[in-house]
Amino acid sequence: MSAPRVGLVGRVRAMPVFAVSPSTEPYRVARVVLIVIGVAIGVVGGVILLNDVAPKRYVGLATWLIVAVILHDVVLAPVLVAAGLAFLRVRERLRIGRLAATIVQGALVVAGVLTAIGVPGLLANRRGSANPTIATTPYLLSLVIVWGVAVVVVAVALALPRLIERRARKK
Amino acid sequence: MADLTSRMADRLEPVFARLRRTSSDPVKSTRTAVVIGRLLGAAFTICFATGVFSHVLQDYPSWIVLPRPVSLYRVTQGLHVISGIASIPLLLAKLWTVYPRLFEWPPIRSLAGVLERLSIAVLVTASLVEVAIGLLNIFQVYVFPFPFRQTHYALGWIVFGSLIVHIAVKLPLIARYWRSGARDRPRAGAVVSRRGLVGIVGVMVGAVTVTTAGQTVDLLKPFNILGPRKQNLGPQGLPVNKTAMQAGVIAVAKSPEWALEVIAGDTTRSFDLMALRALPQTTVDLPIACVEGWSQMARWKGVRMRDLLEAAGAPAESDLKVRSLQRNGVTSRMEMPAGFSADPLTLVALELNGEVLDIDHGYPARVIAPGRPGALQTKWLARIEVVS
Repeated sequence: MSAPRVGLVGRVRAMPVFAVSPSTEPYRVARVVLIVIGVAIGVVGGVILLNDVAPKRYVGLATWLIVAVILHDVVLAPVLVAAGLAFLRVRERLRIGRLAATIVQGALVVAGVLTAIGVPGLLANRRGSANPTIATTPYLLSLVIVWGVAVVVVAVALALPRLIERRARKK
Repeated sequence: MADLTSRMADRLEPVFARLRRTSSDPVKSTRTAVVIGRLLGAAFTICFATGVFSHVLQDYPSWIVLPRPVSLYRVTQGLHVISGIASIPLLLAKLWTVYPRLFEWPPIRSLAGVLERLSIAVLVTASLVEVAIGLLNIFQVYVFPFPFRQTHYALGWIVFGSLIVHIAVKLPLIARYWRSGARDRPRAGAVVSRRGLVGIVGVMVGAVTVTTAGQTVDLLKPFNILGPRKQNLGPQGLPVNKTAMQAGVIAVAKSPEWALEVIAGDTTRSFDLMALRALPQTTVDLPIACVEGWSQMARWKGVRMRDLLEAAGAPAESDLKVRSLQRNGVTSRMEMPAGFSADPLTLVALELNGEVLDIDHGYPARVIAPGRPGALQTKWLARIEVVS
């Protein structure tokens, strides 16, 4: 009697162990060797974790691991998707060319990632340190400069093609 | 039960389909994932190799005696932090590219599929935490509820292991899309093309590198607006990992009673500052290279370790145990294999950049040896014991 192929449980029951048998695919040996090596290296990490990190720290670490993936998958990634769709609309409405759009998007994400790596500096500035040789930069000022440059790049990328177009039309 | 799960599946399927459609973009192709994945894989491999090297140097100092080139650790640890910071935009770009695959339907197809998704979950979450705590650590911002050194090391192995598993799982795809082929559509993309995207990722990597690497790469000094350290900033123009105040050694280090004990077998000899200055003085140029990824060249003057050992009646080539005035912490004690003690560049330094050592740089005397991590360049020396 075979299990019904309806519902998640039924589907899981009906699943073959390997959807596509790895033995029929190319690189079979290389893949098996790599999986064995990868698992072995991961196990070393697990052993280091169990040996060197006190059990009372596990809850904190697990929380960080779970929160990290939630922050990415549920917050950051959807925001980036939404921003991309919004930009697509703006691009169509303002009829921004491909190159200009790439430069605008590039300027924004570069400034964004610089802001992300600036966060520990901002925290360090706020908290202060007994060591006067660390985090001496006013990182807020650095980020203001970064965003200033990004805004200028965006403005130039948007304005320059129009300017050139207008000149061409006058001639 | 089957009815319930079936109804749930029927409800979820269109939701997943919609999420997948909304987050999709022709630029998020397998080819893009392979192009960015290669760069991220390279960055993670450099991080892992240099990280393990650093841990071995610090935990098993007698295993590797590599005093030349003198900047070896400066380069490996500088690379560790530079490639670690570079992996942040690469990781975000890679996750952006593969995000629609989170909503694949059915979510699991086979046992192998379950294991594959599990390995990806481990890779993603461990990578995110690994780069985040690495970045926080170089700013010495300890906002996480677990110890940095041990956790970063363990997660490093877990990230690299799950990366290799991931590569194994995707190997046929990686091979198929390794080169731009007939199926490739480099100009496809809602806003940016793939070439545009790869260009943007390149600029992101360049931007995070240029704005931080000035803490270790002399050429990039002027652009260091986001790095935690600045070259030439600190007492005697050199940054400090831990100050004398933080180490709690100011009173004992400044005491006129201070003397360096050298113990060889049954005999103990004491050298006060006068006695150390009376020994032959040598000047060397050696970098100080911190595990946190900053480094700088400096000029040190003091007594060669080999000269000091011979003055104390011990062979120049001796395995040593070195103690600091600092009571606790990893930098309070250090082991030095004979290969370093006999090296003409290894000093018990008394001066830095032409001045008497600043208290934060280890006054009255500190060790400086070629090619070793900063944590092993013991400051505020108390005792040197010959063990062989």
